[in-house]
Amino acid sequence: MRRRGADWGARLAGLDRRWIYLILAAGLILTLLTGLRLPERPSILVEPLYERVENLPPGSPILLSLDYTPSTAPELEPMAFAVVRHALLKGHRLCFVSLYPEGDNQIARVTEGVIAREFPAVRAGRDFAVLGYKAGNEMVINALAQRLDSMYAGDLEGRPLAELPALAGVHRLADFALVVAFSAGTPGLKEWILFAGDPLGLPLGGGCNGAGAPQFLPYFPHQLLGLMGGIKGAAEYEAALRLGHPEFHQRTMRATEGMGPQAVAHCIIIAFVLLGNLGLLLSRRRREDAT
Amino acid sequence: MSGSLEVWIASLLTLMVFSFLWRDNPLYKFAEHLFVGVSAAYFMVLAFWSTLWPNAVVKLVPAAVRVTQPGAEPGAFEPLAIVPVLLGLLMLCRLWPRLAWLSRWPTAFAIGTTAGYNLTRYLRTDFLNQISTTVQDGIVVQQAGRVAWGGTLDQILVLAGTVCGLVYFTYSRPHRGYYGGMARVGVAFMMVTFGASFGYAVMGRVAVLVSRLQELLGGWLGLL
Repeated sequence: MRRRGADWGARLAGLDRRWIYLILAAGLILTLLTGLRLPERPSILVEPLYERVENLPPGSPILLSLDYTPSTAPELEPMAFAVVRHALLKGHRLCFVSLYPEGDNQIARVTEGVIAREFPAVRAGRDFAVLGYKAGNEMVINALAQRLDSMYAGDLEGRPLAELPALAGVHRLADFALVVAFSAGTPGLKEWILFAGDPLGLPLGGGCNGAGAPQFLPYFPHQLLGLMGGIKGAAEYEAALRLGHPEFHQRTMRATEGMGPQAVAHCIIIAFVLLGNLGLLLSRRRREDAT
Repeated sequence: MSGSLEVWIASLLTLMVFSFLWRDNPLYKFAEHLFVGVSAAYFMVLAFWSTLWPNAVVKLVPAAVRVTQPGAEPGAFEPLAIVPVLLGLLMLCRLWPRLAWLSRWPTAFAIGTTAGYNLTRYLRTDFLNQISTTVQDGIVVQQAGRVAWGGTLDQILVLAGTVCGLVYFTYSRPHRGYYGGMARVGVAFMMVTFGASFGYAVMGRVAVLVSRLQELLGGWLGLL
């Protein structure tokens, strides 16, 4: 009996990794094809950010910094989409900036993918301003804290800041009612906390990719109003939107769609971690028996 | 199936990259080299038009703004912009061994300003304010005057984890007795942290994979 267990240990330890890839791919494809949906609820990390956007008076200026690239867009873009939907629904004014060179393209995906499709009455310049990417990392934030026009003469279409109704009464970072940074690394949310949220006492929320989430947890709730960590955080914000606004009840949203396959993938990975450890234990027992 | 050429190119390149999971092969190599080449060219062009052009050329020759924004009014001439331009040119002196020493000046400027800015900010945000936020809440009381036991337990765990983690990294005293016990608790907290980090990282990678599969199954094959 023990000998048979030992054989299984060797087999598990020597399992070709391609079986793992195959099983993972099969699990994900089947889950996507069946359209598995899991219930989501906003957590205490996401709820304060949602509540802040929800309870601001209509017309409040909100700064959104899209600091990510296409490689992290699958996690961060659904967050940006959800926050933009929510803010426009509440009638807030938006201002888009980016600390990443690819930021202008990411902003364009948001304005075309959400604003143009779902809010056709919303106008660039009047309801939202696209200032775009500016080189300089944290120095950009530092300069924006003093004066917005020290970094940006106008929006991406060349209109001077003073002529943009979306930025009426907004001259520096402190004039924004809320800043939300969607961050994939450096520069990103960390720099926004260091140079804007903490020193200015600015209401600052954030979204970050999964790998970066643990480093931001210590800032919550005193130095960070709310945090969306990875695709789960995005799905929680979408859940809050569905709970709070009936018009979103039946709407399919990308992060929520991705959580079913996510759960299946995690189960498969956990199963293989357990199997791997079981194989190690059986192999170790075999060695001990041999000696 | 999609009739868009872009979708076909993206989907086939995705499959070429996925083929590496089987083993290294020419299709994967082709996709990899194409990605490196396109990325290098893309970032070079992006850096020129989004950094060099607006921050150097447009500030020194204001009318140049009309090249990228035909309707824009030229701003004022900014003579101080010549300073970063000169520092940038000094950086290029590294290419000539006899003048390479000149590149130390812009390097020193960049290191000095960045260190100066970051030192004060990190000291306040990551050190002083993190200490105060770790200890200030203590027993969490709800508005009705009742103790919020969940929140209070959170605070106790955060405080215990911080103190025990600090004890583990204090090497001036042997980790024995109750002191060693605290260090071991600190290690346990760190293990939980590393596990959470690994879990978050897995979630991020799976999210990217799911996104590509959604594009392949939905955008390309039209099955979703």
